[in-house]
This record gives sequence, structure tokens and C-alpha cells, in this order.
Amino acid sequence: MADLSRWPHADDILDQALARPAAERRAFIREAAGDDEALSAALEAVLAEAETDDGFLAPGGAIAGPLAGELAGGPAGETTPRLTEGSRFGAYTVHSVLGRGGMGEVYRARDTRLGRDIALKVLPRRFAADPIRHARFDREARLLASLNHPHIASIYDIEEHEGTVALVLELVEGPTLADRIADGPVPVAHVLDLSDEMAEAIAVAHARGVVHRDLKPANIKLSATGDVKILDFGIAKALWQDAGDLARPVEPGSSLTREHGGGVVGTPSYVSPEHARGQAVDHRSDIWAFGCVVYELLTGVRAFDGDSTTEVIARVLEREPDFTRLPPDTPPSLRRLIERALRKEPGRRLGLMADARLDIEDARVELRRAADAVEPGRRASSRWLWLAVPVAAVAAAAGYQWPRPARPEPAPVFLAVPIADSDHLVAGELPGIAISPDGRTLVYRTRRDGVIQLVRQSLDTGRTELVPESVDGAAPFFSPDSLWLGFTAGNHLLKVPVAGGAVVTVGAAPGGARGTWLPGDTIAYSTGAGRNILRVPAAGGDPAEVTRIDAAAGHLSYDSPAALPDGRHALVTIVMADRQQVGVLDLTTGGVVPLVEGRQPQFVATGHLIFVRGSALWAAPFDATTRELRAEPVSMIEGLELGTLNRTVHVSAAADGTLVYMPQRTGLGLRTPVWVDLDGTEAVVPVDGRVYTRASLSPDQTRLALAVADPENRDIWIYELARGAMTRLTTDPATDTAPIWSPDSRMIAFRSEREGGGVFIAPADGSGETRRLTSSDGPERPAHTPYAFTPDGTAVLFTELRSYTDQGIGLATLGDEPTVRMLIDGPYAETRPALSSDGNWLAYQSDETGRFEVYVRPFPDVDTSRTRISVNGGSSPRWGPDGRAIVFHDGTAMIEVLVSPGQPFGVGESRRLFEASRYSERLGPLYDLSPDGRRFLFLREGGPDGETGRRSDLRLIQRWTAVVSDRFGER
Amino acid sequence: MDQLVPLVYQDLRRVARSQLRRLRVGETLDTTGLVHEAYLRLVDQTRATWHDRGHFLAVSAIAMRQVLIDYARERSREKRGGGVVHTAFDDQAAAATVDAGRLLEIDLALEKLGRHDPRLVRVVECRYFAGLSEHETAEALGVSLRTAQRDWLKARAWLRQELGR
Repeated sequence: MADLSRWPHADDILDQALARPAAERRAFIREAAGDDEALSAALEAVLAEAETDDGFLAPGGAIAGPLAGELAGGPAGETTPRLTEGSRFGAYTVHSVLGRGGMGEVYRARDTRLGRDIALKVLPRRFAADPIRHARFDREARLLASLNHPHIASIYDIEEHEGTVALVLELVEGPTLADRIADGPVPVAHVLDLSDEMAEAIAVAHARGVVHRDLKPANIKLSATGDVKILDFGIAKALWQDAGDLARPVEPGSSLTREHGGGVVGTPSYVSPEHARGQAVDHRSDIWAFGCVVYELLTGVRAFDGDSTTEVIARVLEREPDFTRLPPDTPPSLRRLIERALRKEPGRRLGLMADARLDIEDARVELRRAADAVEPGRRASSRWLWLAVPVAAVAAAAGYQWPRPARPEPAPVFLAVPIADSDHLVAGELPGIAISPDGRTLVYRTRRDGVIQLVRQSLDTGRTELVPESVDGAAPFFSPDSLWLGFTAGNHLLKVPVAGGAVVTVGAAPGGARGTWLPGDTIAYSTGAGRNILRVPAAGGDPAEVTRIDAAAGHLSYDSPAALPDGRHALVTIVMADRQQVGVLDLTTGGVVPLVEGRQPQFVATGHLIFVRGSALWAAPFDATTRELRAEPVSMIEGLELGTLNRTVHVSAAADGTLVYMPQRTGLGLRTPVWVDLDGTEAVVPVDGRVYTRASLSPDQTRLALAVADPENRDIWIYELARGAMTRLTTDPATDTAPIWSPDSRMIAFRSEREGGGVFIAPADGSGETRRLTSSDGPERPAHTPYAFTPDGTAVLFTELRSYTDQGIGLATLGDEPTVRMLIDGPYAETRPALSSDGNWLAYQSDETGRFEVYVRPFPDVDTSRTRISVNGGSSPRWGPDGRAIVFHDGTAMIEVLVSPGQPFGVGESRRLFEASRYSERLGPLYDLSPDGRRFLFLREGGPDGETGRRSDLRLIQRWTAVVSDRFGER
Repeated sequence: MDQLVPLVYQDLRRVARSQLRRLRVGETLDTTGLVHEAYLRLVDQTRATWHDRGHFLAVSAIAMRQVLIDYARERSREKRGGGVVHTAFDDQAAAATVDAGRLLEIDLALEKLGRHDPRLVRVVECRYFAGLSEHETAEALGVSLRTAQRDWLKARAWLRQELGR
């Protein structure tokens, strides 16, 4: 397009044209542009954008796509089942929708056994689909069900019906406090009654360890008798308690939750500051919300309000509510109660809900005295009486035997460092662990009660303590004498005596600091915002840049300094456009010399350099005097946990050769292949739980081809069923995935992202060469995924994915001159092709009706007819052995439909084989079917034992040099 | 302005990730909320000299582009040892790869566009990468609403042609 800036008046013409009705714009432009055709064309192209809504560059498009979804590491999405009015749900008859919330839909229903009306809260599908989550939720719900209090709406039961899970709740008729407030402020005396009932209920729940987390007027009802009934107590936590590994700062289901369709539900007006900041949420958040509700009852307006979510959050975080709006007859004790409940810092806030009742009691007295025109007397409460309300006992940490690193043994000793259940190691983008040079103290970064902080652990006693002022702290490091601990928090570099004492600010560190303590009491560090290494006296002062970027050498920045013993040099990471190198920094000149490929170096006093490549820790003997390697580095520990985006590794070494590191955490995305019988019975295939994305059974039923997504690489492995042996088939650094077997069980076709991507084929025994069948290196850069061989083994059906909603089915032949053509390629998602055993019929799924349904076409003449097989949704079709049945997934179950191939293609009876919502995937489950049609091969979430939790511990190796010393061929 | 980007980058990435996690199908990011959340943290922590909210929005939009493009690059490079852990299912991973390719293509085109009309690039960052509204975009770029609207159309027209769509 011609550059419009060439025409100074182009913007004027555009504005005038845009101000006109669409029909007149073109004529206007042609007239305004005169005979300047280039201008006219350019303007028309711009105008066309105003009238086109084809999704090209849609606002926010970049952050709405699958990439953004993956970046978030979040679920592909979840659906909440909907119930129809009049339908049955177990023992309940559904009447009407009561409301839709972030956590699911709520229905009014009738319990036909007990003859009472109840509320049914239907949960998102994944609760039904995931047995572990389900069980955990079940446990939590039953705990909540035991929470019997007249001012808390009861949870009666948890009910499952045809794969859908719902909570059975007490149905409370009557208005909510939100309805009441909409009528205006509530008189003070009544507010005191309501507040007291709320406080009583909340205090009792808190004493049982249950936090509401979503208190707001809309969650508090007034029953027919005028009593307060708090709804949904603890449900937010029950639903999201397993989200610890996802680090949700604000749980869905809280006021910040967004409704389907994108609008923000309600407002964040009741969210506590710590909650809004994504920090710990405990019972004090309920106390905050309680303060908000009481304020609103008295004034009729929200304590924190605004036109937008962000404005409200800003007020919650920054502003005090307008206390002058409280009615003049508000008793001082109530005023004080609200003020203390609404303190921004949880530590300064009213600590116990039960205490509020004292204030309310006092307020009643004050109100009465004011009414009697008597001077309000001094408060005389018997606080200790109320303290008798039981407070949740602090669980005593069970003592454990700490293996003290005593006298050196010749052999290395591997230990797991136990981490308390309340602590969750954080593998962030800054280093999270450090061991002191004397090997006696360990510091690690943990999330405790939702707050990220540093924990110091004595390796002598095993005792742990929080490092003071280390909230959001990271990148710990020790002074050479092990007396001081340095770390970063709040964009500063800080230090604190290891033995305890005040935290000292050493210098500013925007974006956080990665520091190292140099001999001679200075600290060198890199920051998240800068590109050079800084140095500052450990006593504090102005940091000065030590390095200057050597742009000529392609250096972009220097990072992660690590002291060398001479005090004049340090190791650094040199960040370049396409790689990272370990370099040696001359602290005097500021020059940086590359040493070896790798990152995050550390010098160990045993005379070794350790550093990171990929997710492995490497080591080499290192001469600290000449600053040279004395031997080629070797890989020492594979599979370290990586920071998600910058691949920071968490590792630290003491002078005596004690090494601590964070191993790769398992469990995330872990899956296990399982055989599933026609009745739905599962039998685990005895392989390690890994991140499998595809499992394919060889037609001779001797082997499985498994696509494995390791953090390092995605490759295809072959598992021999008889021997239980796993061998890797592909090794290309690019992704190889989605394997399928040729009919003779000798070849594997798969998708690879190597060399522009496409479908490739290779012998299944690893012999012979890999050949390309298709290339997806076009301008659209789609993905080609193979799904089926033709029965004669001469061609492969594949799907071309351009986006989720635009996919087509193609055929690639295998001959000497491979040909590729698209078979079915409408403007829909047409995918998952499967061929009947005689090769005459093609089953596939298409979303042309708005959802996926299964269709059959003749093959190879696909355009001669088309028959719809599924009725209520269908995906992932497969043919039965004789071509007389098709099985598919209907979203919740596997369905079998009898068919009679021919013209016309006959569709007979269907039957539900087994519940299969647990295998659901966005486009339908990926599975395989045995040739006899009697066994399915699915991938089930979780490891072989069903474990899905991420392991959270540290490994400690004493005398690690013994592991590698015999591997160095020293120079 | 650009030297402030790294400052926002870390925070924005963290906030973006946590926000994205809360999304369900069909939802898009509450970018304004996201940006504001990051803003509050930064004002709090750094006392950095943000001239105003608009300035911050603009910096955040640039950072948002970087966050996504960096990831797209990492994602599409996908070399051994430089890999990203994909826990997504196969189709999702494939779609993300395709998406990454597309974003990189747009990024490349934007570099080109920036050589003769950098303001249009800023508009694309605000609208496409950060999902800011027309009003916010105008605020971020310190231009009138009309200019923001017009620039957005111009940028789209140019990119459509450049990308041959």
C-alpha cells in the first residue's frame, strides 16, 4: 500500500470520509483525491478496514489465541454443564435457574425423597472428569457440610449425575443484603443485629478453619424470619484449593471472576488489598469484606467503588473509604470496628472475627446510651471471655531426623531436603535457593500461605525460620564468611545477618537483583531492568556499573555474576541473541571474556566450575588462578526445574562440595496410557508417567508409539508391550509428535516441526531413513498431523490445522514421487479422519453445524455423498473391525453406532459404551482402538498411581565432586 | 520511554500469566485490569517516573508485545535445551505453534512499518497486543480519539497488504 504520509491532507480526507455514511464514502474519496489514483486506492484500502470485520487483527487478538493460552499454561477451557428445566438430576427435579455465577449455574430443584426445595449448584466439568480433583472436592465439601450454623446456609450433599457434579445446598428464600441496600441505608440498630449475626457465623467458621473468601452483600441473604444466612461458605476455596500449582492470585469464583462471554461479574469492591495484589488470602480477608459490608449497610454505598474494575482495585489498594459518610449516630465502637476491619495491611487489621462481636456489644450500649441522652461511657468489655472461642490449633511440625552433613565420606551422598507441607518451593525467574559456603545454612524461596518469602533452614538442626522482610524475596546469596545473607525484594538489594538482625538495604535493583558477594566486602549484581553488572559496597552506597556492553562481540547483556576467589574477577552469563555463554569478568577493566557455552555459572572452592546448559547442570575443573577450564565439562545432573520463561535453574554449591538443587517437578501434565474395556474398566499400561500427548497401538498389537513432551524435547518413543521396553524413535531437536502405524506395523508416520514442518515417515525399528511426506512451510504455516494410513499402506490421511476453526483433511501418497492433495477443506474445522478397514469409507468430524459432529463420506471419492452419524455432538470417530460400527466420543461418553455401508449409507442403532468425559480434549480425545474393536487405548491424566501433584522438594548432594571426578579427563 | 520497558516487562509477564490462567474459552484478557495491576505494583515499588497513566499504558503495550513475541520466538525455535514445556495436548500445541508463526510474521511486518510510520506500530501494540480500547489507545499515545481510530485503520490496511491477507 502506498504510504499515506506522502499526502499531507490524507488524514483530513479520511476523517471526513469516515464521518459520512458508508455508502457515500467511496464517492467522496474519489472526488477528494481527484485524479490521484494511488491516493484514492490507499484511502479506499483504509476505509475498507472500517467496514470489514473478518477477524484480521482483531483488538486483543494477540492475547486471545492459543499461544497466549499456552503461555499461561492454563487449561484449554472448561465448560459448565447446563441443566434443562423439568429434567431430573439424580433424586432432584430441576425447576428453574436461580443464578449464574463464576463457579457454575445454580438451579432451584426439588428433592423428591425429602419433599423439600433445594438449590443445585452445578460445577464445571473438570470436577467430574478428574477423579482426584473430584475426590478432593468431595472431601472438602463434606467438611463444609459439617459446618452447621443457623446463620450459614448449609451444604447438604454433593451429587453426581451422568458425569455432572453438583452441590446440593440449602435453599434460602428472601432478599440478599444487596437487595436490601439497594433500598437505601439500613438503620444503625438493625445494622448492629445483622453485623452481630454475620460476625458470629464467620467467627464459628474461622474457628473451624473455614474461610469464606467471597463475602459480599449478594452472598448474604435475609431469611423469612429476618435472620442472616451466609451463602457459599468455603466453596471458593474448596473449588480452587488444588490450584496451588497454578498460583492463582485471585480465585475464580471470587468477585473478580469473569462470566462466560467475558464480562466482569459484579465488582471487586469486597476484595481485600492482599487478595487484589495476589498475596495470601486468609481469614483476615473475610474480616475486610465484613468491614466493607457493614460500611455499605450503614451508608448505602460501597466502601470502595468506581466505574471500572481497575478503578475499584486502585481504590481498594490506595484509598481509605469515606468515613464521613457514616451516619452521625454511628456508635464510636462500630466506627472503630469498621476502621480496624478495613486496614490495608492484614497484620494491622482486626485479627479475630469474634472480637468484632465485642465492639458490636459495646456499640449497642453506646447506641442505647446515646438514645437515653447519656454521655457514652468508657468501654468495659471482658475481652478474655471471647478469647475462649477456639482458634484453630497450629499444627506442630513433626520432628524429623536431619542427616547432619558430618565428616566427609568418599562417596557422594544424595539426600532429599524435606520441605514442610505448608511451604511450596517457588521455581521462579530469579534463583530460589542458596547454600552457605560453610554448608550449614540453606535458604530457599517458598510460597507459604500464599506469600512468597525466603525461608532459612539450619542444616545442623533442620529448623526453619522466615527471613525477615523477605516477602516477594528472591535470589539469595551468602557472604564468603557465611555470616550474611543477601537477597532481593521490592526492587532492592538487601542483606541481613544470618544469625538474625535487622535487614539493611544495600542498593536499588529495579526488576530484582542476582547478586554475588565478592571478597573484600563488595557485592556485584545484575538487575532485571539493566543490562550491565553493577557493584556496590556491601555496607551500602551508590551502585556503579562495572561492565560495558561489548556490542561488537554480539553481547546483549550480562547477568548472574558469581564471585571468583581472587576478588578481581567474577563469572557472568553473557546473553547473546541466540545463545548464552559463561564469561569471565575482569572487575578492574570491566572486560568480559567468553569461557564456555552455558549460563548461571558458579565457582566451587573444590576447584570446579558449575553451570547450566538446557536443564542440566554441567561441571568442569576450573583453575581460579588462570581462569581456565582444566578439562572438558561434563553433564552432571539432568532434569533441573526451569523458570518458565527465562529458564533460570535453582542450584547452589557450598565450599565443601555440598550441592543443593531443585529437581524438575513432575506431575504437571503427567499422563498415563490406559487400556479401557468396552465397559469402561481401566488397566494401566506399566510405563512411567510422563507428558504423553498421543498413544498409538501397532496393528500387530506388539508395540505402542507414544508422543512424549519432555521439557527438553518432544519426541516419539516406542514401547514394546511384551518386554516393557521403551526406546526413543526420533531425536530431532524439533518437535516430533502424533505417531500412527502403517498397516504392516513397520512404519510410523508422524508430525514434525523440523525444516518448516510437515508429515514424515520413518521405520518403527529406528533403522533406515526418515522421509518427508508433506510440507507445511506455506505462508499460513499450518500444522500437518497424520491420522490414518490407507489399508494398503500407500497413502496417509492428515489434517491441516490453520487455526482451531479452520482445518481440512488431506491425503499424501507414499510412492517414489509423493503427492499431496486436500480432500475435504470447507471453511470449517474438519479433522480426525478414520478409514474403514476396507478403505471404502472415511469417517471424520466437522463443526459446520456449530459443534463437532461425525460424518461419513465414500473414499476416495469423498464428494459423492455425505452422511451424518452423530446426533448430539461427536468427535474422534473410529471404525469397528468389520466396518459395521463407528465409535466416537459425544463429549461425555463413548458411543457406538451400527452402520451399513452402501448407497445410501445406513445408520442404525447407537448405544453408550462407557462414561469417558475424563478423556475429553478440545477437539475430542486422541485414542486408539484395538483391531478387534474390544480395547481402547486412552491417555489418562496423572501418573500410573494417579498422582497429579507436583513434587516439591530439594535435593542435596554431599561430595558431589566424587560423582564427576572420574569422568574428567583432566588436561 | 523504552528504557522503562524492562521494568514493566517482568511485572506484566507475571500478571499476564496469572490473568491468562483465569480465562476460560471465549474470554479475552482484561488487559486494562492487567495493566493497571502492574501499574499499581510499579508505582508502589519503584517510584519510577511515570508521567501519567497514558505513559504507563503505552509502555505496557510495548512490553506486552515483547512478552508475546519472546514467547512465540521461544516457542517456534523449540530446540533441544531451549525448549518450552508444553503440557498442552497435541492439537493445542499445534495451534499454538501456528499462532506463534503468525505473531512472528506480524512482528516482522511491524518492524518494517516502524521504519516509515512508528506511530502506527504503537497503535497496533496498544490495540492488537495489549487489547486496549480506542480511548485507552488515544490516552496511551497522547493523540485524539479520532487519530487513534484513524491510525488503527491505517495500520490494519497496511498490514493486510503486507501480509497478503
